[in-house]
Amino acid sequence: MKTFALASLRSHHAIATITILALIAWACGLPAWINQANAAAVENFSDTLSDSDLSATAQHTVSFTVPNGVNPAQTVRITFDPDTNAFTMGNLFVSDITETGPGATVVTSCGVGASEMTVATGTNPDYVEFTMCAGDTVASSTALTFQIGSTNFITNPAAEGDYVVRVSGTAADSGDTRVYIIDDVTVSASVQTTLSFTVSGVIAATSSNSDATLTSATTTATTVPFGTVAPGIAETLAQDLAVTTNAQNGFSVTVEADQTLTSGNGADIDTFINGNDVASSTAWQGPANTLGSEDTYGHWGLTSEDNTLSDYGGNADYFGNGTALYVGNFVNNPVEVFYHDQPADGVEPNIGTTRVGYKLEIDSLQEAANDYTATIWYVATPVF
Amino acid sequence: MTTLFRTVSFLALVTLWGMLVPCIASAQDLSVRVQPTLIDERLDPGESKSGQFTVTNQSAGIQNFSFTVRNVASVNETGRPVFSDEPPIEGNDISEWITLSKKTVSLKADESATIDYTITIPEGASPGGHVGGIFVDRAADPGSTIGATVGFQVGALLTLHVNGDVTENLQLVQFSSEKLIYTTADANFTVRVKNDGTVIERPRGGITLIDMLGNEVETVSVNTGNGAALPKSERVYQAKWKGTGFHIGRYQAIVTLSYGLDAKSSISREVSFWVIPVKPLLIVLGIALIIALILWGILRLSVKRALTKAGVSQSLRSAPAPKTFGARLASTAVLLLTIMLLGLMVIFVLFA
Repeated sequence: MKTFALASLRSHHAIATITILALIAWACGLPAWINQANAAAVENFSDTLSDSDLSATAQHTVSFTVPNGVNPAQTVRITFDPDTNAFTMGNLFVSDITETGPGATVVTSCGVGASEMTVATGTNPDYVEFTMCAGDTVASSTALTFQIGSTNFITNPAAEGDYVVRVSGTAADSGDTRVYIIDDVTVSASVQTTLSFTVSGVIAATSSNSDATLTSATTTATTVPFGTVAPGIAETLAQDLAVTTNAQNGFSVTVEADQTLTSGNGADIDTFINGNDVASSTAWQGPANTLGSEDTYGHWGLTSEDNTLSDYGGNADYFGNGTALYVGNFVNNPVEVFYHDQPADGVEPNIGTTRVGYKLEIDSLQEAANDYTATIWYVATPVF
Repeated sequence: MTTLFRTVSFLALVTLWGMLVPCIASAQDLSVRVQPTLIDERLDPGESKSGQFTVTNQSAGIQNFSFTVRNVASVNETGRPVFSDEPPIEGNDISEWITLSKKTVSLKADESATIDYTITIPEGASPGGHVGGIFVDRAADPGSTIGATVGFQVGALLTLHVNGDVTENLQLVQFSSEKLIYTTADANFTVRVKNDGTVIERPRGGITLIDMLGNEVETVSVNTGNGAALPKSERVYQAKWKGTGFHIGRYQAIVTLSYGLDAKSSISREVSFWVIPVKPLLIVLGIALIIALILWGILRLSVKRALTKAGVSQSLRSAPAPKTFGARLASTAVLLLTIMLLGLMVIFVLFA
């Protein structure tokens, strides 16, 4: 009795555990795992439409490889949208269906050929079914290409979306592919997009990309004037950029200099850091000022406030968030400083407007000159 | 009085200057508008076609603009072109296929100019897609102080398709979800295609979301902006699903893209991810745990009272009381709910 009671209690415990585990398994998607069918699959399955527009009539070129071949009297059925039957076979006749490759031959009645198939159509859901003639086969790993539609065609669904095209039947191989029916965009000679690009100066004592060093002078749209620079003091200048565009995929703005800051006597202020054209955004550091290494006497770099850039391996905030990072690889090399992937209004930060900062620092060994100059080019375009 | 007058005058001047400086700065803005900025043509070798684009000087004052045509050296995965002044391949120098009616123009503030362009495809041009840009240049002013002078170019992108024997071959090389487990129905997808053909493709399609019961939940569009995948390059498209209502469990996402110049091929790929709404589940399980604990407590109390009523001595009561089915169920539920709660908290910390 005692043993029975104990066994009964243990079984109740087990039932409770199994019940709760089953609930957990269901919540975690167990049905999805169970529903995965295990069948021999056709390979390289595709359906190419002559027109994928909504409600258009289209010729379908359905191709697939049958790893197990097709045996006599077996059927291969191609069903268009088995789930919702949104395609319409209409007046599609047997004469509109052919096999265009060497894999098989579609016939109206079986004859003496080796790989002949008869064909029939059906509806609800709409399908085309090929029946292997008696005594004929399709060899294993044969590629079949059926062209469906010649004088009469299948009509596409009226709703945009992806639709399953299924190979099934009594033959061993089956599978699904998908086609996308979409409202075609009429491509005219020129899509009337517009793009406005504006460069503005920034006044002195203004922040640039959260750099602790405020701008030391006022820039204009056409000049970034560092002026007389003292050794050991970093100077920052900035310009504002604005883009207004209705281009659906947005725009990109790059900047490059035609040379590093160079004086008439040949001396130059090299690129950040110490002339190494740093491409990986880095916190500002002063030049090394190593005697005998002219590249280390001074350098300049640039930064940007835009945090939605496209060009840096997914790191949209490439130039820093809360702290300015600089690069030096912009001489004769366009560097993206402004980007947005949709239309822009010319006003919203990180969408239609941004600020580009330029920083320069020299040290005691930098050659004296009053004409260190370069030309900066912004290039603004939509994206493809 | 004189001192007061001078002081007031000085303050007025300073105030006026402070108001003017931003105005002066903005008055010096340089701005230009170009329309159209996307030009798409399909031509035969030997064929010519003309068009126009408009340049508007949005700056204050007269500005001088010049016009150039440049080839595209490469395109990054988001469609940003990199321009070159070198022809990419001999005989396919798009900069030589375009002639412009003007090389320079001088415009007053808010004045526009219309520039004619003619595209002439050489007889020997290779069939397929060709890209370039027509640029409006505003050259830098000469400068002599320490610093940089600034110029800019605003470009209109040209995509030309030369008819002929072309190859279309677009592959879906990547379809991924940003995360494997989301705590809300807010999923980001990356679709990467590779164009191994010679045609500029503009694949469009959608991502169908299917829940664990096989129901189609929603379809989100991919590349509604008609972004191009250029020949011999890869292009990345981003898509986002923000589900409404309650979502839980394993989801299957199937991306299908249609592409092709004339005939439309489709490419498809799928990925799975989970939605585990941790916060609502934590609340529900927490409540369930509390209820289970209360039930467990009540059951223990009722057993003790029953034993007391039956006159069972303390020594016997201290022995483990026989557990009823309800008590077993309650204690098992408490244990499993606790494990689930801990698991959800871990998921929340890792994936929220």
